[in-house]
Amino acid sequence: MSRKKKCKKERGNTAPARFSLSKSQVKVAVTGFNRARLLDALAREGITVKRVINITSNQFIIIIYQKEYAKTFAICNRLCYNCNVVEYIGLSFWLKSKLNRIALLVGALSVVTLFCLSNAFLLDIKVTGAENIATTQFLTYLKSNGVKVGAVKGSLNHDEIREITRSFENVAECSVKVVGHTLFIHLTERDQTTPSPSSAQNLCSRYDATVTRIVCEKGTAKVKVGQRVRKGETLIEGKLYNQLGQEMLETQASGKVYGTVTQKRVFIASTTSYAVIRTGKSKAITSLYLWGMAIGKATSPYESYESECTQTFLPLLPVKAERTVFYETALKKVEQTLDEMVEKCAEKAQAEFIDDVNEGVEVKTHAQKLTETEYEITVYLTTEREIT
Amino acid sequence: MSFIGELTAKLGICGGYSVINFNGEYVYVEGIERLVFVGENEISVSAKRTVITVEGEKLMMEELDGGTLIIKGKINCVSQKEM
Repeated sequence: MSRKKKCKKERGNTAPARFSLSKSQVKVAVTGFNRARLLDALAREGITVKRVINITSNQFIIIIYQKEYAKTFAICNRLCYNCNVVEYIGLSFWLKSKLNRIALLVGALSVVTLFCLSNAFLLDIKVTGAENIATTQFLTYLKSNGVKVGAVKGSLNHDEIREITRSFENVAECSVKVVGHTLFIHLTERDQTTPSPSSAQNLCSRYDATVTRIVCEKGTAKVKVGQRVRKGETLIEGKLYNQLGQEMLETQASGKVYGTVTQKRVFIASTTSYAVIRTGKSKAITSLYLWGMAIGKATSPYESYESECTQTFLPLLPVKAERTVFYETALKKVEQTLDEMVEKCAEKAQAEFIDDVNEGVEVKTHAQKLTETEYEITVYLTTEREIT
Repeated sequence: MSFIGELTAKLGICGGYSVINFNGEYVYVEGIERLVFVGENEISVSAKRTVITVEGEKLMMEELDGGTLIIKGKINCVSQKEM
């Protein structure tokens, strides 16, 4: 009975475990004077003692195979030797001792795996340099050609992406770079402006105008101040004449001519209109995107609505959170007077006016009634501007 | 490689056991598998199919480490027997 109790106590021993690829062994510390007697008893029972280490005159350590431990323990008890396990040697013992760390190991391995996996995918595309090109339209074009969020980074061919980008309307040149999870595309748009008149042989007028100032740097001015000119008419000629009016040499015309230009904008407006206004009700819905695929769809709970969307990328993971806020809207009838309408049209025409204006704009309006509520409003904008 | 290992390699002996008697005071045995009998006048060990017996007086195991054994005492006889 007491022997069984002692056996149970030994099994509960929390001795350290050492890593080894050999057969499982146990290091047992034995206390007793007659070492030879114990070794002989073990030898007679067929127990293999791998090693004997002397500690003191009455204490020594033996290393035996783990499967022979129970027998060794029984022999030690029978011969009244005290023994206890001081170390477990072997792979199975070492793994068992690390069990309490297994969750940490599994967690660390999962994070590393997720990181490596997410590192393999494209999570964002950033487009820069697009002033006249709509970014949304460009991204849709890229998506239709296989360049999209969620694509495998290794499969992206930079040269192919450049070719695809250059094929887009109004793109002259581009640069493509992948940094981390993001694809950076910088666009250089085609120059849409007309060639500088200063470099032309002759300088011609861009508008129908009345000439107010002439600054002639090279060539011969063909118009005078106060003269009315048509669009396309030569203002400065690329030739030089002598006092007799004979042509001396040809040159590139250079200079600036200013004139008073009147531009007209026509609007059709109504005194009764409907405006879309927010009722004050709103609802926010969050959708998750994993590797570009949506989990949950954001649908509006309202029949008529406006929406605002914000996107957030989670660090180290291929997950994008998209928060969409839906605002309920309703149509509201708006009544306005003729004067209010005319003022609004004048403001709109001025806002759309192009930018190389030298002085203030003179605005004149004219309204013509079409129906009970509709009017044709003409806005005349007169200003001095460079006409070359 | 140990000195004994070099010597056995030179002699063309592969594996097996080695017994060296130092002046009748120490016996060094290499290549043992397990102890067979331990007593004051006799210590027997097994090495593959051979039992090596060391006879003497006041014998004690000085060191047992893996496959090597050092016996200290008054060595009278070292013998081996095929099992």
